[in-house]
Formats: sequence, C-alpha cells, structure tokens
Amino acid sequence: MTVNSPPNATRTYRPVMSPTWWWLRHPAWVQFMLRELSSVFIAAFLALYLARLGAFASGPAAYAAFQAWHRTPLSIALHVLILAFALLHSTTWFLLTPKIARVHVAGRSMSEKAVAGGALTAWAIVSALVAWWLLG
Amino acid sequence: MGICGSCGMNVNGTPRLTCATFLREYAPGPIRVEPLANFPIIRDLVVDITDFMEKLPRVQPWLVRQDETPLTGGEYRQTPGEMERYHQFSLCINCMLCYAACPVYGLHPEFIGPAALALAHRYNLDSRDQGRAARQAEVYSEEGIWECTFVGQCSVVCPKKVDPAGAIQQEKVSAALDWLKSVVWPWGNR
Amino acid sequence: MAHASRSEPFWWSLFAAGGVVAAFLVPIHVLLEGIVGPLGGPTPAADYDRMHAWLASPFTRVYLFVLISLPLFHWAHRFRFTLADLGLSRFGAWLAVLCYGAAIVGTALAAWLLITAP
Repeated sequence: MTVNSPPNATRTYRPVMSPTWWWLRHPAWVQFMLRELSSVFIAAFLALYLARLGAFASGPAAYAAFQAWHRTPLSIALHVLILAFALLHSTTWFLLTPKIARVHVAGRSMSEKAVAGGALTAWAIVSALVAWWLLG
Repeated sequence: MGICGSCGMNVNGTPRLTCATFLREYAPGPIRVEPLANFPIIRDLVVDITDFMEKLPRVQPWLVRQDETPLTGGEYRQTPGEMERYHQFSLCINCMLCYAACPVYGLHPEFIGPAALALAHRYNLDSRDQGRAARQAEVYSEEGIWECTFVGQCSVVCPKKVDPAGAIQQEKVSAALDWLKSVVWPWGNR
Repeated sequence: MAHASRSEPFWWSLFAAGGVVAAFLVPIHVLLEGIVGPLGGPTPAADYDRMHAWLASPFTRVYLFVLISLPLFHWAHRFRFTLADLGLSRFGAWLAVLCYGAAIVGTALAAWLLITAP
C-alpha cells in the first residue's frame, strides 16, 4: 500500500497562531520571551552608562546632578529591576553554554553539568575580580 | 516502541509520542489529545507532513564526497571517537515533535526546522563527509539556522535526546567561523 | 533559490560576543554602580573626582568601551528578532536598520566619549 500526500482539492485546517500573543500560551514560551526581553533592560543600563559618561564630560556639576538622580528611590528600583533581568540573562546564558560549546578533555566530552558549572564558576570569579577592582 | 516516529500528537498542549504516553501519567485528568501542532490538519488527528518530507532532502542528509575512492579501496573508516562526535545527532526518528514544539516554525513555516538542521549537523560532523560547503546554501540560508532563536523546546520534547537546538547553535558557530575565515584569508580554499 | 547568508554570521558573532560580555560583566556593574554606589559604596562612579581618577587609566577606557559596545550589539540582534516574533516580521529590513543602527550610534558615542573624556 503506498502512502500519498492528499490531493490538492483536500482542504486542510491550520489553527491560527497569534503573531503577537502566541508566547503567552506555554510557560516555557513565557520564560523564553522574558529571557529575550532581558536584553532591553541591559541596553537601558548601557544607555544610562553613556549618559553617565556624557555627564562626566559636562563637568562636576552635571555629574553631581546625575549621581543625585541615581540616589532617588525611582533609580534604585529601576536598577533592581535591571539587575534582575541582567541576572536572568547571565544564568540562562551560562546554563545554555554546554549546548553550543562541546568541550573535549582527554578525548572525552565534558558533561553538560560540568561545562555549565565551569561557566558559572568563571562568572563568579570575574564578578569578584571586577568588584575588587571597583571597590578596592 | 518509540522508534518509528509515527504517533506524534499534542497531549495537553505538549508534543508527545503517544505510544509512550500513558493515561496514568495524566490521572485524574482531564486529558486533551490534539493533532501534532504546526502542521496542516487533514482530519481528526491526521496532519499533512508534506512540508517536512520536502525539507529533509534539501539539506542533503547523506555522505557527500568530493573525491570518491573506488570500491577496491575499501570502506571509509572511522574511529569510535570520530563516530561519537556525531552519534547523538544520528538518533533522529523523524517524529516531528520538534517541529510541533518550535514556535518559530509555527510562526514562519518557511523555517527549515530542527530535525532537518540537526541531521545536516550530523553529516557535517561525520569524518567521512566532505559536504559542508554543498549544504551551506540551504543550511546557512535565512530560512535555515539563522531563523532559529534558540527557544530550545525542540530539544526538550525530543524523545531521542538528539538536541536539535544544540546542533543548530553549533552550526551557527561553524558558519560564523567560516565567515571569519573568508574575511581574514579569502584566498584559502574551503 | 536559497543561498548562504553573508550578513547573518557577522551580526550573530557580535550578538554572541556581546552576550558573553553582558553575561560576565553587566550584573556586577549594575549592582555596584547602580545600587551600591549611589547608596554610599566607594565605587569609582560615586563622584566626579573618583571617576576622573578611574578614567585616567587607558585600560579603564578600553574596558568601558567593550562593556558598552558589545552588549549593545547583543541587544540589537536579539531585539530585532524579538520584534519580528511579536508580529513585526513584515518590517524585517527596517527592524535590522533601526536596531543595528542604534547599536552603531551607541558604539560611536561610547568611543567618542571615552576618547575625549577629561
């Protein structure tokens, strides 16, 4: 018995996938969209950093005003939100690293857990180094 | 069981091989069985898989050689280590659960899709293959690997742990390195 | 007739590099310069004089350039695809121009500010 694809006259039905709201239908897709949107919050922080450099270029008075805004509850709250999304980006990025980088040690591939663990450890070390540089 | 790949359907919203899906997993219920997502529905639970069947050969999922040795030269030999490099990606049973799970394929049906791209990766990694350049036009096209946004659900639902998402990201790295090589020393042969 | 994309590998490479930089460096900078510093911590960005001393080193300037520019390209690529996945895919070319254009402008601005900073 041969299997044929349906003749052209057969109608088929395609359920509609909302181009804008499709991602709300599965928890995994919501997580995905949040992960993608984390880049917006990171970009917001970068824009603020450019503004910081601009304020610095404008002199001590401008810079003091810029820092004063950063002391407001609004700014602190915004940065907490940005930090949350930045952490989301970092954790999802490092947990996905094993998928893209197959590491071979002594002829055998490292397990996904080991690669992710290595990446997360490296992140902790780099963060500590930066903190020491900035605060020290 | 779980090897012919013919019984893929959406169970409670998730693509599953229904031969390996038991009512007791969903007790006390309810349970909702739908046709495999992202494929045109013909009737009841039957979907039209023509699109997938058309896409699979486009990535040339066979050993492509630039120089064929004659039969008297014997087999193309391969060490266990060389086989291990692509083995995982060779386990695909063409069940299309990954296509059902992929929102990109659902939104953009021109996307070549997880299974086809994972299979291309399997051959690109095969030490006996010389066909990566031949596959490029399809695999490295806009409808190929670059359409993928690494949602990752394809790998989550795959019953054989092929990890098509990983395969696609690894091909992106290869493509990026190819591009870099073509820029840094364009006179080098492929 | 399908053909291998010549531009996607380039933008994706910037996305990947920017993603790595952002993953490693952005959280600690947000914490220190966005929260700890303003609340009284001794970070370089806390006041003008500290910032001035910190920026005296060329290493700092190069570091900040990398910190700002590469993650901007990461955002640009990711946001371009996100907007397409939110229903705007028919504006594909415009999205690419807007997103990568913004990243290029931001990068140029970062370079200019860091080169000319006192």
